[in-house]
Amino acid sequence: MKDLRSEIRSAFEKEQAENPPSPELRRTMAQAVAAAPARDGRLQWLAVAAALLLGLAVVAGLMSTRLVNRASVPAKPHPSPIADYGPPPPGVPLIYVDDPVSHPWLIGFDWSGKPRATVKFDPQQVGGLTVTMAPDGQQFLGVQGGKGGHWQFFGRLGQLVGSGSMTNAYQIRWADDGTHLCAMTSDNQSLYFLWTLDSKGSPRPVAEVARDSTVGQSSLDVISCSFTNNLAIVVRTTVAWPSEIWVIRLSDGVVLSHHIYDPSQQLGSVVASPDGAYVAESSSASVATPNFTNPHAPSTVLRRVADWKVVLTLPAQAQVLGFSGDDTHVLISKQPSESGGLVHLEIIDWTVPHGVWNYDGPEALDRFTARPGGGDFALALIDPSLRASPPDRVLLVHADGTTTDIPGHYEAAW
Amino acid sequence: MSRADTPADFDLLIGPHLEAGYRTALAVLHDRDEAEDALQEAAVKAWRRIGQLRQAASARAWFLAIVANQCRSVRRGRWWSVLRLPDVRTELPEAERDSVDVERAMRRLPDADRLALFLHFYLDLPLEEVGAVLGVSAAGARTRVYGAVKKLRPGLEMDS
Repeated sequence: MKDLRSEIRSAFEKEQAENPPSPELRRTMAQAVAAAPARDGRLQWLAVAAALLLGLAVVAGLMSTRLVNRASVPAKPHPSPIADYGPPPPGVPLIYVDDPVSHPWLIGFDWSGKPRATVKFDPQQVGGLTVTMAPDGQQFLGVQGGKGGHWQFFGRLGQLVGSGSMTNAYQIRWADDGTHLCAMTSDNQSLYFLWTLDSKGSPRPVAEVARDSTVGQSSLDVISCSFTNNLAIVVRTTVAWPSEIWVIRLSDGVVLSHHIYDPSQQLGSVVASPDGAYVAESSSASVATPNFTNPHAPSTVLRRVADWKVVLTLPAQAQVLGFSGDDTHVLISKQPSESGGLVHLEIIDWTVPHGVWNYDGPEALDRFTARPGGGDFALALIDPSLRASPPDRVLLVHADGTTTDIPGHYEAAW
Repeated sequence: MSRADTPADFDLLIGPHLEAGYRTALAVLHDRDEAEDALQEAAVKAWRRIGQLRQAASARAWFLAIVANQCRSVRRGRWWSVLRLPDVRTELPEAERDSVDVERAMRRLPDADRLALFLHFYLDLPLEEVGAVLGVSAAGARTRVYGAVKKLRPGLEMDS
C-alpha cells in the first residue's frame, strides 16, 4: 500500500496531467497585465508621498517630542460604505470580522450582536499579514505569510505596538488573558520547545516538551495557554491521532502531568478549555468515516485537569470542538459528517447536563470563538458550496440557547 | 519592500508562480478554460494590488491567495455544476483499488479541504504558506490538512 501522501499526490497528478499549462502561459499573462488599465502613475505616487512627507514634517515639527510616545495614526484606505462604527470602546469584549468593503479594516460586534467598532489598520503595516483578534478583541496578532515565525502585535485601536520573530516557530496561540501568547518551536532534530510571548512580542522560554524520533509522523500543539491558571496544555498527534498530553506550568516549565493515550482506544481529537481546567478527549469514532475499522475509544469524555477525573461521558460519535469561556458549556459535533462539513452541532451545559442549542445544517462550521468568561459562542457558519462572498454567516449562541444572527456575510477574524 | 513598477517587474516577481497559480485554479475549477480565465483575472488583480506585496519571499503565497479567491468567485458565479461520478471498474489490483478509493474520497471533499491538500501535498507548500493562501494561521492550516486526511481514509498513515 502506498503511503497516503503519494496517493494524494498521484490523484492530483492524474488530474493535472490531463490539462497541462500552456507553454505560452507566462507570455499570455504578461500581455494581459500590460493591457490592464494602468495603476496610478509613478509620478502621482511620488507627489502624494512628497505631500505626505511634507505634512508629516510639519506636524512632527509642531508636536516635537510629544510625538515620540504616541501610537501611530493608521492611514485611512477609503471610507466604508457600510458604516464607520468608530474606535472600539475600552474594556468591552468584541468579536471582529473583516470589513467586507474596506480592506484591511475590521468591524467589531459586541456579544449582543451590535456593531461597536471599526478598527482601521494601516494597509502598509498589515499587508501580507493574517490578522486575528485576542480572545477579548482588545489586541490583534498579525502573522506573516510565508516561511518562519514572524508576527506583529496591534493594540485595540489597530496601532502597531510590537513585533517579533522566532526561528522554527510553527504555532502561536493567544493566552486566556488576551495579553500573552504561547508558541511552539521545532528544530531540525525535532526538539519541541514551548515559549510564551508578551504582547510586545518578546519571547520567554518555558520548557522542552519532547524530542521526536519519528520525524514527520507526529506534531505537538498547544491546545490551551492560560496565564490565569499558570499552565499550558500540549498534545502530541501521531499520524492523525492524539497520542500524548502534557500539562506544563508556565512560570517554571515544570511538567505537572503527562499522559500517554492507549493506542487500542484511539482518540480523534483533544481540546482544552481556555483556562486549562478541563480537557475533552473525543473518540476517533467521532471523526471516522463509515469504513473506519481502527479500535476507537468507547466514549468521548470531559476530564478535570487538576485530578484527571472524568466529569462527563458522551457517546463515542460526539466530538467536542471547544469549551465556553466560563467552562460551563461545550460545543460538540454530534456525529461524523458524511461529506466533511460539521453540520450536526449541539451546545451542552455540561454542568447540568443538558443541551441548550441544536443545529443540523445545512451550513457547515467554519470556525468559532468563545466569549471570555461567559457561556456564549460565536459561530462562523459557511455554505459548503461557497456561494457567499465573504463566506461566513456569524451566529451568536448565548448561554441559554437563544441566538443572535449578525446580518450579512463576513470573514471572521478569529 | 518589493515594488513592481512595470509589467516586466511584475513578471519577474509573479512570473515564476504562474504555473502554480494555473495548477491551483485547475484543482479548484476542474476546467482548463475557466482555470486560465481565473488565472488571468488573478494576475491583473495582483498587478493592481502589487503595493500590498511587502516581501518577495511571500510572493508565491500572496499570489496563490488571490488565485484561490478568484476561483471561489468563479464557483459562486456558476449556475450549473458537474456531478463527477466515479468510474465503474471491477476487480482492480489492491494497490490500484487503494488509489481509486483515495480519488473517490478526494472528489467528495469540500473545496477548502481539497485546496489545502493540493497546496501541501502537490505543490509542497509548507503549512505556513498553506495558511497564508487559505487566510488562516499555520496551525489552522495544519488542522485543515490533518482534518482532510482524516476524512479521506482514517486508517492510513500520513507523513508530512
